[in-house]
Amino acid sequence: MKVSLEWLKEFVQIRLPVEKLSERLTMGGLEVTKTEKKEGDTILEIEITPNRPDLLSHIGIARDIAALTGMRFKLPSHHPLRAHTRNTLPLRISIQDKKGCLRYIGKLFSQIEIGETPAWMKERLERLGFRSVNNVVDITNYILLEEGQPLHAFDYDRIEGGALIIRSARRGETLLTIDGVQRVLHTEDLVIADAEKPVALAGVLGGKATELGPATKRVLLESAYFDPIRIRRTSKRLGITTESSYRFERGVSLEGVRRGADRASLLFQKWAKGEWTGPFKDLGKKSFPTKRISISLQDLDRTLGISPSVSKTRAFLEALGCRVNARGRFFRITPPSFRRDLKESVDVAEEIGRVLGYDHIPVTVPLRKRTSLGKDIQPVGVERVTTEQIKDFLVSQGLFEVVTYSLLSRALLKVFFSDDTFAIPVRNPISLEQELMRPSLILRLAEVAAHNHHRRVEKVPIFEVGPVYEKDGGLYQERKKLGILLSGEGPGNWRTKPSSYDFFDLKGRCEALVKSFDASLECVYQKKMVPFLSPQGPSMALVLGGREVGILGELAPSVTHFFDLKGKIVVAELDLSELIRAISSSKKYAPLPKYPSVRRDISLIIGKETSSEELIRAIREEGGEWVREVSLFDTYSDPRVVPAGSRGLSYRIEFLHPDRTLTDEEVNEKYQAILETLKRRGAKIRSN
Amino acid sequence: MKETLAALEASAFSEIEQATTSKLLEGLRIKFLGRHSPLAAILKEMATLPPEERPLMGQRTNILKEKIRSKIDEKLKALGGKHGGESSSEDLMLPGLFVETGRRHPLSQVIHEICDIFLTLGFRIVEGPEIETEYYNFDALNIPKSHPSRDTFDTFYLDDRWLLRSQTSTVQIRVMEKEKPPLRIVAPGRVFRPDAVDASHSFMFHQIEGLWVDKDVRFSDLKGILTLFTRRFFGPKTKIRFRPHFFPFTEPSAEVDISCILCDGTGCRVCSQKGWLEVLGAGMVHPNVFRAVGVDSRRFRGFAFGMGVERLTMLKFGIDDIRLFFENDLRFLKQF
Repeated sequence: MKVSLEWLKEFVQIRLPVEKLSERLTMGGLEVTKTEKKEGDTILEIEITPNRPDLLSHIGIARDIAALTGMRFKLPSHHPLRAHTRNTLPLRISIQDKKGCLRYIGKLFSQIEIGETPAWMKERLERLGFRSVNNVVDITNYILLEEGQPLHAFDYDRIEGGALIIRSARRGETLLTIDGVQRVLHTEDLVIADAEKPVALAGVLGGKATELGPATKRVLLESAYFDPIRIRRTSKRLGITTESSYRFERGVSLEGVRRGADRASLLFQKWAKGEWTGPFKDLGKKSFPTKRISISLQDLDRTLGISPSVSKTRAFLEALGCRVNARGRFFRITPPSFRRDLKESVDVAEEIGRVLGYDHIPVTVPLRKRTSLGKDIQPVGVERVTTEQIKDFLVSQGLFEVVTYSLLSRALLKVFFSDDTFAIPVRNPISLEQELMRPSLILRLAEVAAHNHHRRVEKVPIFEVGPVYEKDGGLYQERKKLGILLSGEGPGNWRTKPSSYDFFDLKGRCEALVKSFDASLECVYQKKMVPFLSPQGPSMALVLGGREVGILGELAPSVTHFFDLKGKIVVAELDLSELIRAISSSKKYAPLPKYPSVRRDISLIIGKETSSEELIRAIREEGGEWVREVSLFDTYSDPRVVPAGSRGLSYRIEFLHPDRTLTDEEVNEKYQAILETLKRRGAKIRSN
Repeated sequence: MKETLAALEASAFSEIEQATTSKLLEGLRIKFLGRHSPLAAILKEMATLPPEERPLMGQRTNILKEKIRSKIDEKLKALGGKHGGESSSEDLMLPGLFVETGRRHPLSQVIHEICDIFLTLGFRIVEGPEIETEYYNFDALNIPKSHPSRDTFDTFYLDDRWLLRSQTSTVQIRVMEKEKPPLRIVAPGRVFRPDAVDASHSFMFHQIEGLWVDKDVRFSDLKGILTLFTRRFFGPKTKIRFRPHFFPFTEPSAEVDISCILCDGTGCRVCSQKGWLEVLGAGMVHPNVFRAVGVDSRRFRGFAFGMGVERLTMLKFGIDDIRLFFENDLRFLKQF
């Protein structure tokens, strides 16, 4: 809201310089966002919160200035001159929609001379950004700015039948509004109609047909209270906010309807030579029921942490227009009709705090009394702590955490999934990027990889912990996932040359993550088809403790082509709560071995169709409980030793007996048995 | 023979003293302690002495031997650096070897830091769903239907019933529905508003909501807690001010400003010459919110506050474009 300092001074004495005034207003809840000097005046731009429609006027702001600075406030005169003639012209007004219109005043003026607006009024309006139209229209705008009451002026002679009906629009009705647009009305719209048709869109826009022209002689002035919700719906539907609709949707004052009409009458008589000839119709409610609020100084203290004296409290409230009845430390307050936001004691407390100044409220720390160990004292959730540890671990492994949008475009989804019907659509996106809720983290991770690649940052080891969204049996589900993507050159330095990230780097990171929490937990992999993973390349499910935790593999070529990504891109997506459940098993101490272990290495050549996991399982089975550890320590494919279709694998086996030292013979016997087993599986033993 | 030993000691010591390289010292070691050294000769001559003198002389000779040896070692040590340099061929100025680490996302770092501050103040961290109903996002928070105050919380809808929360205040309601006061929580999370993306707007961002409900908490305590928080987060010299404002779910309500961290309150581009930066919204829990969740508003008071994580992160690190957070350019991420 823009206000003129010069205009405000008509209603309140202002001694403070502009900067001090702005500061006081800001600290009083009327934030001054801009001040601008204009032709000897200063225009203040003040942010008005939606609970204070009374501040959408110079009078309202002047009243608050008076309260905040302790200066006196005075209202302008609004007693109009008396009517000259009575009831000579027909005027019938009826409110059909009583919920839509609580009060309606129609006042008829004759012998109006449409003409120039007095210079001082014109200047005030123009300084505040209003275009001068003619004296009558300007007066209605002037009252809107002064009193906050929107008014409308009809050309009486263009109203059919001398009748005005306030009703809902009928299906199919149209109205040519003053902005020259033919509007098709909605049955929710509230209209002012004459005997035949709508002549105005109540509270939003006037109609072209009854607009004042240079020849207008008789003016019908409207001052009304329209239902905020109705006005807001119409204004939203049409996408039009006018100075009038803005005030009506926040709620004008029922009493102000009369004040506005009276003030306008005075100005019409003075500046448009208008004679009020009657008739004067005032229909509907004159006021809302008065409310009383009880509050004590103790209540103030309990809410604010401070309470001013009885006399100060009374003075503050009276300055804001409240009637105050004090008995000792107890107050009964009747708020003014234009302050419908004052409903209960906390509202009064805020007013006291505001006028007193929040900076006068002390800064305290709540004292904790001794209380039983209840709900108030709870540890941070395990899930949160573990999530933080997972993130820190991945960072220590060289991965960067990213944060990406939860929403994405259908086009992006289609790159990853042939079926695009399962993702949850957003009903009112304002861009394509917001069409769907993401069903997987990998989509945006791939996009991040592409963003970086295209800027020549080719090494992209990243992860995100965040939600994915699904609809499951009609219910919306949010699940937190851990997504990992590795692409480009892996870690390396001048001693160890780096190699490109591949599936084994990814698998290794996942295993290291799991082992860092629970060294005894085995990672099991199962072949799994995933829509966006390469069907020829690795595409696996990770199983921990017998439950599938997530997937890992290489992005399908169709995806990498879409993003124009070079090289292999490996990704994993794990369900965070499944992962946390698996790795949060409580650890148990096992006694340290009392006897030395014995190591044996096996090097073998075997067909590629046999997996290393299978061989390890075979070794363990044959070795029995003495085999403590089996690990792969080398692979080789030198064609001089390894025939095509085969590969060389080397394992180290550690034997241990819990109760005694194993003899060489015992170990050799087991070892031979293991060799035999491996041979039976087609392995050629190279050395032992 | 005693004299011979004394003379030998003097000459050996002076020669060692004058030696300038380890090579020369090694030569002196052979000269004075080797098989053809004077000391070796003396020990051979020992047989010619009378038996009662032998032990004493032997002892003396051995002591001198030790003295010369340690003198040489001492000198070698003094020449020190040269000794190491001579035998190593590696360039020790090559970079050290380490595993390159990644980084936490700046938003994640700030959320962690803020939650940590509130943990030390006895708050508990909770999370709530992002897909919510109108009830939790609006009605229970005293935001009336078809009221202009809903405009500030413009919202994405999924269908007639479900929406994407436009604020983390929803978590207040979720927690108070389930648990009885006293309560102290902070709730970080994603929120959504249909905004066009530009340098200062994003349709998705993060908020942290805080709530303290007890029999005896006041607005002055809210001032205390947020003063502690802003000093911890922005530095001990940070000034803070509370401005009356309007939020449907709190009364009295305040917007919280801190003295501009760039210009210290004198006015600059970042604070639009105001000297202050708005960083939080706060207030006393509105009785209607308590009514919605069945907390007796005569027995209990509470305060709530909310902050935008992106804004705080941008201020903390001097970032001027919100889009950088979601582009995840590694050259950006590596800076934090």
